[in-house]
Amino acid sequence: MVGIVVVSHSARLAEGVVELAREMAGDVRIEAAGGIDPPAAGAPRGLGTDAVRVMEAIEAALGPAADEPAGVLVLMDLGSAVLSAETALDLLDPAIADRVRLAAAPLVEGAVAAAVAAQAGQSLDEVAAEARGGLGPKLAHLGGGRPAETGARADESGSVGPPRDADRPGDASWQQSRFVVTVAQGLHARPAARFVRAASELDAVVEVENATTGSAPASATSLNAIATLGVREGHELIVRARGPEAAEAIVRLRQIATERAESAGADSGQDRLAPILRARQGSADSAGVDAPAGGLRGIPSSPGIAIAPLRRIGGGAAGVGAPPIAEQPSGSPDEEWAALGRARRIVRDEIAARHERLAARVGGEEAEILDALALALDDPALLDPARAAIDAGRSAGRGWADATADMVGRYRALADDYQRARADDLDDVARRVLAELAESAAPPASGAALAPAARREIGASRSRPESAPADSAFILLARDLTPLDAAGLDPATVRGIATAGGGPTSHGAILARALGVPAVVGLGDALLALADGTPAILDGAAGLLLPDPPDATRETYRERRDEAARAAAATRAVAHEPALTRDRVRIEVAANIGGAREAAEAVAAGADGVGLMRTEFAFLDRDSAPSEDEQVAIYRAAGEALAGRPLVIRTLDAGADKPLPYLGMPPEQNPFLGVRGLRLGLARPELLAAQLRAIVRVAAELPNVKLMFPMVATVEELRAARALLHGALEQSGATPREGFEVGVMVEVPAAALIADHLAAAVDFLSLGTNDLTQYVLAAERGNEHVAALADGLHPAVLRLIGEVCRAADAHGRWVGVCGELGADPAAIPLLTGLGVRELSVAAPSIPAVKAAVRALDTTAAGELAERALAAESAAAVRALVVESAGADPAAD
Amino acid sequence: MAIGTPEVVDWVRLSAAALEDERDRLNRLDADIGDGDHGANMARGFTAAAERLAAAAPETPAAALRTVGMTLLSTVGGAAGPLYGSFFIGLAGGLGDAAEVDAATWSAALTQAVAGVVRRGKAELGDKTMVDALTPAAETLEAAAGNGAAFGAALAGSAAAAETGAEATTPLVARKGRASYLGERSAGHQDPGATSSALLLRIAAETWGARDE
Repeated sequence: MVGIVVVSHSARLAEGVVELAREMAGDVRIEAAGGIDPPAAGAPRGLGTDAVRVMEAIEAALGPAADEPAGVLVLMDLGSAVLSAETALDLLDPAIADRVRLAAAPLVEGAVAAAVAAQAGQSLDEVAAEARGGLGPKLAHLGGGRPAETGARADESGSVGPPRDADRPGDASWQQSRFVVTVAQGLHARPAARFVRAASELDAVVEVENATTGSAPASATSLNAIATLGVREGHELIVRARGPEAAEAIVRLRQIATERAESAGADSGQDRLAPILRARQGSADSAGVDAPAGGLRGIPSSPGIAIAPLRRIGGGAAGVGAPPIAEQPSGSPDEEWAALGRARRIVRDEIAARHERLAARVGGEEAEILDALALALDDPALLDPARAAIDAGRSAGRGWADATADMVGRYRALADDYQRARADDLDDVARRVLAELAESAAPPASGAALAPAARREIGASRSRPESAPADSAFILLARDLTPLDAAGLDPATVRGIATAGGGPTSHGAILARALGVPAVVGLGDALLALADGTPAILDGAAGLLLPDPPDATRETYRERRDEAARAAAATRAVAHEPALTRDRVRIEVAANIGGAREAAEAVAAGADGVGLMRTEFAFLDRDSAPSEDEQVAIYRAAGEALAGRPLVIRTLDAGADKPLPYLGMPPEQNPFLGVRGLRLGLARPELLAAQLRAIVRVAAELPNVKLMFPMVATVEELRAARALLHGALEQSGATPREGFEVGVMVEVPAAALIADHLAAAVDFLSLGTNDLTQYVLAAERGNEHVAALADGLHPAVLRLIGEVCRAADAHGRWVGVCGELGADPAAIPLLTGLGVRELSVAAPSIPAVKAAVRALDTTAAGELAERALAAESAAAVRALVVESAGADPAAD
Repeated sequence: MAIGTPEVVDWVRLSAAALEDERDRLNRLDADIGDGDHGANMARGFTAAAERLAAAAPETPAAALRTVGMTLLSTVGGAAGPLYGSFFIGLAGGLGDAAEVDAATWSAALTQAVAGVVRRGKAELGDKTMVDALTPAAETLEAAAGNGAAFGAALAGSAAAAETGAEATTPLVARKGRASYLGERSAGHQDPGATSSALLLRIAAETWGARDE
């Protein structure tokens, strides 16, 4: 019969648990090992655990040697109890220690369940499984449930888990939210990493289901589990949480999953991809042509032309396979586990180093791709099964390889191309760890041949291209380009990238675009047959690789490359100049920013000012609203960074669509039709009043500051806001300069239709075209089934914009646009033609918008706009714009 | 120079006194990121170990160190009990039956003992634990012993490496033990376990190194 030992810091607790367990199973040997020797004779035993005492208890529980050696199960409370129990195993004769199991089980429930199983004559493993499942009955009764386990838990003996499904729905201890994911591309690497980080930081148990695919629940703290849910934009997600910070967890996760790509470059990988994909489908001059003889056609992935010899790296080389895996463990499970830990650490450090360099070159947003890789290294969904395999006697390499291969297979099974490409990222990280393991396992002498080969195979780009002299520029040839490879590239020597496999949504391709290196992917295995050093031309926009080009071709491409470089330089050079139409009308091209830091970036990109400063960021991720002084500091920093250029500060635009936990706003059926924007400010006047005081204080210091109210629908709202502003001026004693401008956003159709009344009471009107379009067409952009309806070029939207411009003009007010429409090349002539004089866009779009403005003539644009207002559909409007661009002799 | 059983007993006795002196500082360090009893636990354990050695008169250095290890297991109470217990039992195992200890044997024993601690705590370098002091100490000692350095000088170098390692835990984020619950907030505090480890090695260098002259 199996014996049981109960280890606790408290002697009394251990004895109490033993008493309970004995009541259930009188024949079982159950021993208590609690507390440490009393500090003084006669005193009660101290709190703590004593390995020697645990060892003695195990011996006692084992019973006389003559008995059948059924073994002993040890249950422990927490912390050092576990260490002491492990130490006790060391102290025991190995033959005895082999018959002892330490159970990761709840102490009281586990002891009682184990005692019952032992009494029934079950084996040691069966008793251990019973103990681990000890919480089941309580969970079933109270309906607590537990977060989904991800991957295979380190529980190879098959824990008796709690009943899983009966207990969750409708359970009061779980809070739940169901919403549609609107983040571009769904929960892929970067949003998924943010999601997992947020879930891990909060004191809550969180699980997530993909309601659209009907997935099983997954733990929100496992990156792989979240990623393999296959959550795409437009999918419906169920997030369930319990614990002290459950409510906040749901709010935060919902925010992350419903962020829009409207902030500058929020998902630039996709944004920058779109024109490439369009060029590919469209009539771009070279894209429609067949590959010249001997040329290879692939998928355009990053535009630009490279002329240089090919150089092969990595897995393209024939005969080089995966890193070798030592099948035989070279030490105890603990030593194997430690070796895996060291290998993971080396790879983690490498990722961190590249992250730093990449962030310095392309900015933190793109570099976040590498964060996701680092998270994968520590993901319990990989580590738990690896640990289980190692404990079962496998080598570190085998355990890791199997665990990661399993996860890679799950990624590959996903429906979404973009997410399926993540399999390659994970595979790359997994192989790097295996290579480090092989490196450390190989004895120094004989390993010399093996380890460098393994290193070269997976990490060539870090050693070779980076150290190549500047005159040895080359086009990199590889089977695939992983994000880590791409992050290690030096654009000074890597002129282009050609890969046999991969797609344009691979992270390697995204990073190539961010680095500005021309790239073509998917060139096929023929690429790998090309010899190292072959001179070649790579045309990133056309998706062509031309090996051994004739001199004439080479000359043509060289001219095109130089011409493109001149044009790009010219665009950059004039980005900082004002944008004047051909008939000398100044259009202010400003930036939308989400924080003070972005103000400087906007100036660097050539912004004439800031047409929309969102202030929500100052209110997010905190426990209470920011103080007036904090806000002053933020607004002042933005104003100063702009050095006199205009700064339009929009008051808080929060609501049930963008909730702030500390406001305790009730959920709404239709948050977009609920208390948001100025409505919230008027419902919580203390909040808006403090913000207005902060803004007018800064406006008194800096004459470039303007104020704007969001989500105005009625004149009464505007009057109430004006009254609050008046109070703020009196309370703060601040006196902004004469002519301190106050405007409203026009995003509600009603506001557009009463623009004449609004214009009478404000200094400017700014069209929030994103929301205006959604409201006018009753179509949410985040809903894939109706997103196509929400087209800002619909004549209905344009007519409203025309109304607003006419009304503003009658009162001598100016009109701006601060939605995405302002950066749409097709919309720019229409907006300008209707009378818009300020376009506020994401900072990276500024040079292109200025270039588009400079190509315009306001008279011609006005005529075009008139025709657009009469068109019957958005498609008809687009056709008009295309036709006029083609007919315009000046548009060269 | 080589040391015998009496010197090992001296080390433990003087360590108990030093831990008594440093009790409050270690408690404070532990209070910053743990439960604030590391100084008290260590002082209690080493005082008990010194008393037991005084009564038992062990025959070999290894026997003395094993007694210390077993005593710490039973008296320290917190995680430091099994960890330091494993450390001293590991030292004893590394020394075997040797009647005297020199730089080479001590280096081998220290390396084995540190491996035992790593295995027990499943901590790695940089996890903000005693391993961050012990590992550089063992490596420094091994290098010095390999170069034929005098035992006293080797011990002094080893102790200095442990102190440097302990100080370097300050900016780290704990990944093991109770301090790991604090996450990022554990940064900015020196790890108490690394501090007590460095202290023990410093006392060894002072107790035994004085015999070089």
